[in-house]
Amino acid sequence: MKKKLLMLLLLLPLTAMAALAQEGGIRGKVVSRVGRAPIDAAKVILDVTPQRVTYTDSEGNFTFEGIPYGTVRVQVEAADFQPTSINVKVDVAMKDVNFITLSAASMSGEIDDAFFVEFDSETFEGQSTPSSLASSSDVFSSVAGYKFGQLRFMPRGMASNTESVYLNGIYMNDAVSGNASWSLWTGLNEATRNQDVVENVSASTVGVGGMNGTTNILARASKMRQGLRASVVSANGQYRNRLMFTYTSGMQDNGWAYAFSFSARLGGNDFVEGLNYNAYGYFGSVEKRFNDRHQLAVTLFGVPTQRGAQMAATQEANSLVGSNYYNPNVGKQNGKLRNVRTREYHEPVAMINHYFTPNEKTQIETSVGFRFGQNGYSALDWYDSADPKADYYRNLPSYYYNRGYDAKAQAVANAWLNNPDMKYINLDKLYNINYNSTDTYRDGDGNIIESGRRRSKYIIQERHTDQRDFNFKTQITRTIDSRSNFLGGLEFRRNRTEYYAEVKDLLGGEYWLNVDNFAERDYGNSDFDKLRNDINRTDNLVLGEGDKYGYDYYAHVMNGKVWGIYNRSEGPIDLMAGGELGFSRFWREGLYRKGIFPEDSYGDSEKKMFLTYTAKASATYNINAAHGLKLSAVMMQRAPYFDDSFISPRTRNQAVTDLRAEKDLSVDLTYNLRLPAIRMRASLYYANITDQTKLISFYDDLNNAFSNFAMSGIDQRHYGVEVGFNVPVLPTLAIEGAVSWGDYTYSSNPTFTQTRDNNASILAENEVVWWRGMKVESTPQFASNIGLDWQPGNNIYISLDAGYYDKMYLSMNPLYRTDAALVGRVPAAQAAAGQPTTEAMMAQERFDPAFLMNASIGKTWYIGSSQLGFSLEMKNLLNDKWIRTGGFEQMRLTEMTSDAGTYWNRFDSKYYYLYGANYYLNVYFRF
Amino acid sequence: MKKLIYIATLLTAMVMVGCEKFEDPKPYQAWTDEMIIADGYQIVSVNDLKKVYYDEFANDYSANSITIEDKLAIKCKVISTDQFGNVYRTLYLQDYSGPAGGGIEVKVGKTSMYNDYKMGQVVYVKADGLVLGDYRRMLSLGTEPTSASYANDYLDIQPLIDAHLLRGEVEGLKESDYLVVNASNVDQYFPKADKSVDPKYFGTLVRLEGITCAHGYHSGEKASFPSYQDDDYNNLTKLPDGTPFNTWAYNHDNKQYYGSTLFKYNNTNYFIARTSGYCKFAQSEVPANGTKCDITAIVSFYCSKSGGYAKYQLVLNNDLDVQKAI
Repeated sequence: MKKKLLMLLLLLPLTAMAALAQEGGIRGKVVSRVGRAPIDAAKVILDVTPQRVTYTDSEGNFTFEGIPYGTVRVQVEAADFQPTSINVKVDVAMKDVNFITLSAASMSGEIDDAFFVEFDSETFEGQSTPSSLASSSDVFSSVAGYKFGQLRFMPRGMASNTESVYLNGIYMNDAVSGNASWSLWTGLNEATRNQDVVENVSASTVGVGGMNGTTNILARASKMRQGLRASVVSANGQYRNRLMFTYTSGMQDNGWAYAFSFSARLGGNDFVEGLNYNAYGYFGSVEKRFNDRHQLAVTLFGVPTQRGAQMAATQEANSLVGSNYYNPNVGKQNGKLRNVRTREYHEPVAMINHYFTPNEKTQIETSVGFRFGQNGYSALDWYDSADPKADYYRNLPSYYYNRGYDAKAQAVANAWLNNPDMKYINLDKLYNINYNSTDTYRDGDGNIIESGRRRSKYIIQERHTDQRDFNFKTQITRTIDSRSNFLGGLEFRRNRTEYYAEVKDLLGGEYWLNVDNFAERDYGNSDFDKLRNDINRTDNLVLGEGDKYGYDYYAHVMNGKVWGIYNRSEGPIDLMAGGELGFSRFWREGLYRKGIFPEDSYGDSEKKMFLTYTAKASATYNINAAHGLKLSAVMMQRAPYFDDSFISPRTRNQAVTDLRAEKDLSVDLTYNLRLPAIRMRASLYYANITDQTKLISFYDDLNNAFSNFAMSGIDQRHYGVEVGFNVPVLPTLAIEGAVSWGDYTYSSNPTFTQTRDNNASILAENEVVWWRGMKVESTPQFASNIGLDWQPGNNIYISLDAGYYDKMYLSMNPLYRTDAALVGRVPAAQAAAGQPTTEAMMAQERFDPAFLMNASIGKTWYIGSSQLGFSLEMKNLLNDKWIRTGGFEQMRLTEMTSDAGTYWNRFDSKYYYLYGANYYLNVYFRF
Repeated sequence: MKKLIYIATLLTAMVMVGCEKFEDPKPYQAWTDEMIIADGYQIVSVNDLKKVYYDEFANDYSANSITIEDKLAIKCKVISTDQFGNVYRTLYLQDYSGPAGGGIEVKVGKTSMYNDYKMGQVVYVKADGLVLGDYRRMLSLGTEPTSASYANDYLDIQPLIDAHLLRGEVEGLKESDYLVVNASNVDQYFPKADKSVDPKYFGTLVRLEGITCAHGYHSGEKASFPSYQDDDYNNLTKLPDGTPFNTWAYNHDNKQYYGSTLFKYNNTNYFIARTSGYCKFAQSEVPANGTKCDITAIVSFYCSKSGGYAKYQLVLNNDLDVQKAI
């Protein structure tokens, strides 16, 4: 008896342990709600630590094995369908959940970068790009990414370069600016629909990431839903029409999969002149699964695009034109409108991805990507001629009003009001000036360079940033046991970007001279070499269309890093620790020897080297299947970007002095609630960014010189709250919404050094920009949206939402906050009546709050296994055309005189406005 | 397959439609006498236009102004260029008949005007509504005065400029467009400078042949030459570092001052070339003392408010217009 009892006692723990160690599996079949058609390439996520992901096969089947007994959440996402999730109790060797049905999704809510008007980005500092959040299934991000995007919302107030974007596992943020490169694949919505998104500080499956989310776009044949898709769009707020066609074979029995997609986006819109689209896209992917261990994918895509840009305008100009959508980039030529600022680019990307699965616990991905092509941005350029812009400040009434010339001001105003052509650049005039420009041109010794031919005084130039970007990555994902896994990778990037200007259109002339306009003004003809942009050659002085001029240099960037992520689950607690260590090396290589900087312009600059690192950790407490609390933190050091590191990269190799790496810290506390009655996510966050660098070049009225303004020591502090929720009040009706409240502030007074562009003389050194406490601009710091989603049946979708936005600030000119600009002004407390104050110069403009309403309706018909449907989105139903979405303070100042002496005044600021009521009608077919 | 072909065709059609071409515009039509007359204007000479002022203010040498009421137009040739920066925001026009018809400054107010108004180009000025104003005995055409210091102001605004200045053909300058002056006839055209001299040739294009560049002091002048005038109206003949000033104007250390250089036939008949520190030839050297020169320039006139201290001045378009006499 005692022996039996002893045996039992010995066996009991073993039994218990065996029970504890028991693992099961889950299998199921994902089908559509209508017709129960199997859905292939659906993403099935097992919400455990480490998270596990699989994709359904051609029959819609999926399987997970090795899941510890217990309740787990299974999420399913598929293109064209609404995501769903179920809780599954794993208590047997293989739990069969049978069918998981997905309802067809509304086709509204698509984003491409045309969603945002192409702003004249060389002057607009707050350029943001579509957030990937819209593709996230997170209850806050899915609302914020799309709805908030109307007001150019930046998540947590952080710039695009804080978000990490990957495509097929390769890091795609731009090498020289750090910005997310959405423009490389915009328009290929079908091909890039499948995205893995992690929010904020979380680590992803492709890298440690940063502090503002990571997106990995799965754009290869095996990840795209099988079938033929076509869609036609008619719209009035972005482009006029879009045509898209996609065919995917799905993974076939012979192991091949292929996918092709083509698109065209054409025409202008009803609001802004000159924003015509000629944008196309092509995508091709071929994949071969050799066996269970090796799979190879080859992908090529590109989006050859030509599209116009809009420049912001002063309110004065808008009022004269009678529209807040006035575009000063538009000229009139032979009675036709022509936008002189157009983007034209074609930057194909080619990738090869190899997937090696030596065993069921290990996967090794090795990828190589190459981006090439051309990227140009056109603009008017002129030599020794009047500024041709219609809204040049001297062409506006305010110039005369401010000087007491009321009669002239009125005459100018009357001209604007009575002549609709006043608002256009007079291109006919520019052509005629070129027709008549046949003066003989001589060098400093009197030798004739050109005589008798038409010298263009005005041209359209194209400024190029042509990249050759090579990426290599290898990554291992290893499941250690049922509770832990490890991911690690090695990445290398080599980028060479060529910056140059090209003569695009001689506007009726026969040649353009490659000399520096400003150098000629400063040095005269006495030393002709000083005027020349390149003294190494004599054959590039007299130029024709297609020739390079002005500047020509390479930006060389080399980055490398190793990283690792360890995930472990201990009971209800999931832990993650990740780290990354790397380097960034960059330098400038001048291809021109500039006449005014012969010793410091040609060849390599000093090579800058920075250590980069990221340390990231999180702990999630899964209270139960419904409640979870997650604390995350990241600390990182990032190298400055090439674009901010050289004083005047167009003229010389001189780097910004005291160039430092940026240091970032972010902490996030998130609560997740998942109940049938409500899904909610609430987050508190704090981020501190220090030692940013920024370079601005502009004509400085204080010094009568074109100058370079290099700021360093820019610090920012961001903190706030995010809440997102979805409440299914009825089976057919849900309320969803999101609120983001933040406070994003500049937390330091950066220093700046200002140099004259045409010689190395220092205009100001280590002086201060007094902007501590001012707000980070160009995003609403308060954003909220609430909406109703109604699906009354018969595959009809109706939604209505309303949003309120506030705390949005204009992009600042740092010069206004310097001692030199404040000369002649006194603090308000000391000022006499009418005396100019320092506060008036330094004040930051806050936009009025905005209230928006949108609606959409759609329906899908099922014809056998095919779908035919439409979605109609209507935005800004209240047709409010006075909502400012961005803009900037101009860089110029004007000298004023008062009884107390002279002082400086700002130029009027320029603004962009949200479009009035607009629609987007999408008719789609799925075969 | 048919569907694929159809869609590919549609896409191709879209591509073809999408590309936009812009044609070069035609050259502007040049204005002619007939067109001006057809607009109801009477074409008069520059000096006849100036009579409108002199008839009103015959011996009144204050800074007066008068608005031209009648539909009078002048037909001129452009005799100045702002390409080299010495002429700034203004246009000098000479009567189409030649120097004897008179010359006048038109205060246009724009920069880089040489791109629009070529030397020797025919320009019509519809003068009605414009203001003839006097500045130290030089008349100019402009708009209503806006300050007490000047009798008229710049046109400035493009619609106004387009309404009054009409461009004709680019005929170029002929020999007859120059008033040729030499030691033997200078007194005929430019007698000793005095407030009461005949302004007939003020503002015209002259070629001064065999005129001597004279450095140092000159009788009747306060300054020595060449010299520049600083912010305090001091006439200085040395640079801050002590070296002699011998260029057309002053342009150093981000400061620009007018320079003055004297050219004479004799102690009575002389001209002072006044040059802007902003011009491209400011730092070119003036001819050496005693050098005989041939100069092409615009003659202007200046005197003090009371009419005293009168002098002829030269407005140089370009330093290449000053050549050593053969």
